[in-house]
Amino acid sequence: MKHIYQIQNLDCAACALKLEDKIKKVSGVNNCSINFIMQKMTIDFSDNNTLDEVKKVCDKFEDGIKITRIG
Amino acid sequence: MNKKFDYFRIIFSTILTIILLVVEILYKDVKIGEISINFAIILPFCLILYVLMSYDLFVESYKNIKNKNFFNEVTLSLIATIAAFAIGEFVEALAVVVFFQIGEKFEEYALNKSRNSIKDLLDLRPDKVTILKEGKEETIAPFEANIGDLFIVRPGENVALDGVIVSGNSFIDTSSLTGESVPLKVKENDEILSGSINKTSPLIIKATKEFSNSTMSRILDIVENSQESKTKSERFISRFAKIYTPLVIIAAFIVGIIPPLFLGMNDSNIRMHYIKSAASLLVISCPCSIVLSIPMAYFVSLGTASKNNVLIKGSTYLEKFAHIKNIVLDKTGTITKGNFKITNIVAKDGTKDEILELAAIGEIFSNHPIALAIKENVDLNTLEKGENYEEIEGKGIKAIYRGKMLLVGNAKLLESNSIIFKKTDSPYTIIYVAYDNKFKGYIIINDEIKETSKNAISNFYKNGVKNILMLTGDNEKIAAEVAKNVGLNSYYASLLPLEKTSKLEEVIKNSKKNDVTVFIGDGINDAPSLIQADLGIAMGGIGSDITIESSDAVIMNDDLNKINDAIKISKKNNIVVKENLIFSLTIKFLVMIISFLPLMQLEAFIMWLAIFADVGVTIICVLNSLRLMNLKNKAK
Repeated sequence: MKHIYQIQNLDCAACALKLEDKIKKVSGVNNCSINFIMQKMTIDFSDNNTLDEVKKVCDKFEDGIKITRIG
Repeated sequence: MNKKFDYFRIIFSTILTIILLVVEILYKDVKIGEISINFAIILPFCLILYVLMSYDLFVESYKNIKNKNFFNEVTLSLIATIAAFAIGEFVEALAVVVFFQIGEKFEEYALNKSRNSIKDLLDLRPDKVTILKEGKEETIAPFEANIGDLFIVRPGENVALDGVIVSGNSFIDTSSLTGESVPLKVKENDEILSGSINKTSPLIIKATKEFSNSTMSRILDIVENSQESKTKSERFISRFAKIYTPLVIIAAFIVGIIPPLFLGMNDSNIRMHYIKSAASLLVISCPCSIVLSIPMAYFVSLGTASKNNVLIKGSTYLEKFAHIKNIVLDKTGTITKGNFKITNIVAKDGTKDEILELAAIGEIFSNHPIALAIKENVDLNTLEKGENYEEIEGKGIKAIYRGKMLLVGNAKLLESNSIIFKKTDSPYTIIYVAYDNKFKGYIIINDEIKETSKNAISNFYKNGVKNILMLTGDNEKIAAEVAKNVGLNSYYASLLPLEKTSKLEEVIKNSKKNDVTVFIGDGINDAPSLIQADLGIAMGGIGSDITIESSDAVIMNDDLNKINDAIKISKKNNIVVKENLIFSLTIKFLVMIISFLPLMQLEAFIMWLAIFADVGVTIICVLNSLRLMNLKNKAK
């Protein structure tokens, strides 16, 4: 499955790279790319449990990160 | 935080910081009573302003540390300021946080500005769709819609999903897909692609594709998600960002400890100098200038290119446009319009209309472009059909019409049926018509050359292209004529589809290592060539899956000259990327070198230099990247 999320309150471009790396390491995530400039995260994953795990990673990564599905 | 307060504290603190700096320089040795001015006046002011400017940074840093993220730019900058306070450099400590905040604000501004303009350029992704469920309207997010759902698109709205019109007539604007600015008339049962804008009256559409597979989503995917194919510079940045911060921290430790050991641990001046140097290094611990500005350059360029109707699949291919040396291109649909038109009908026996009608009867079941050109001029509803249709490969069509033999095709067809006729010498396609064993006449059909082709080809040469080669399945005469008209001197004619691929292979084999060989085709029949070339460019046909999958870039309208625009954008982009890389690295490297050296004279500047290397360089690089946005005007 491939979802696109709007990702808000991400601080800097370097942080986006770090978060991308962390999400890629979540088991069940096949691929993830964060476009810092467009504030978009595209994620390719296998099941919905994975998604909860990804959300946890985001919450933990930086305070106030908000992700909303847009596609 | 309140925005107004945020701006207020930045402006207020900046002014006071400058005043404090002047005071520090001018009245350094003045004493108030027993205490130096540095402690009596500057320190209290600096402390107050420091708290005002940095309390939120401390909160952020605390959260980062709680999340086990120790080596982040905020924490490191704060450590640097504390070190500066400890060695009595109060104004510098304050300046670090003031400029840090200014930098953040500026980054935010630049990002928002570029985000908005890029959104204007690209983002036609609709955020809602009105579907009809059991006669009721319901507004949902496009990704929630299923295949088969009916949805309504009112005038002024974007079509969210690909589909078929169930009811309604309207004009739609397809310029974001095709570059065609003339509105297109659509009616019931017509297919409609997402990304079109409805102009005149409401349409009810049945979705034939999910949102994620709809045309507009796929186009946006191409432009936004260039991540999978990273360029050398981008890969370098990812690696660089990972090692840069730890490297700087290690360097700071070394600078703080090693040189004083050798130069005299007991000399407090030397100790102070190197503590200050180490603190300066911490200030430049964020690789922001590169990590932000370079992806931004690629992104803005891709956006500018798509604004110019060139859709490029990611930064690697964008970069290649600048290095195009060989162009191999198809004739039909690329140099020519690909829509065949009757230019003349020559009647030898009977009227022109009779010949046209006979030709149309012959071609009635054929969908070949030439057949379509003939049928276009005849009313098909009143046309009487023949029987025993037989298609003779490479020659034409043989049929029985009203009991007599009808032949429509090339000279070989007539020759093999022993018809007596005079062969016509012309560079264009000739369709001969014979009926009842008599030669009736012929039709001349021509594929028009696009108005822009000649100009585009001369511009290719101006943009550094060395060889341009035209390939066609048509005969030598047509090829020569078209080549002459557009200013080309090399071509291969009468090629079978497979031979086109092998000609391209030859060109690739003979080119130098870093030369880019491009194949340009209409994307329908030449998928293998598009894949094989270093850079495969399809003309039009954004709706077709094959085109999107096999090409590396798509020209959304039919103008070959758009490739020249893309070359210009690419060249400019590559320069900006190089400038940003070299500039950022040089300045940061310079700070590192200076921090190691025992140059006491430079002591007063090192912290300021570090602040510039961090915030100033980021601002300059981001502005440099944003320059790419203005190219679209120049390209026109």
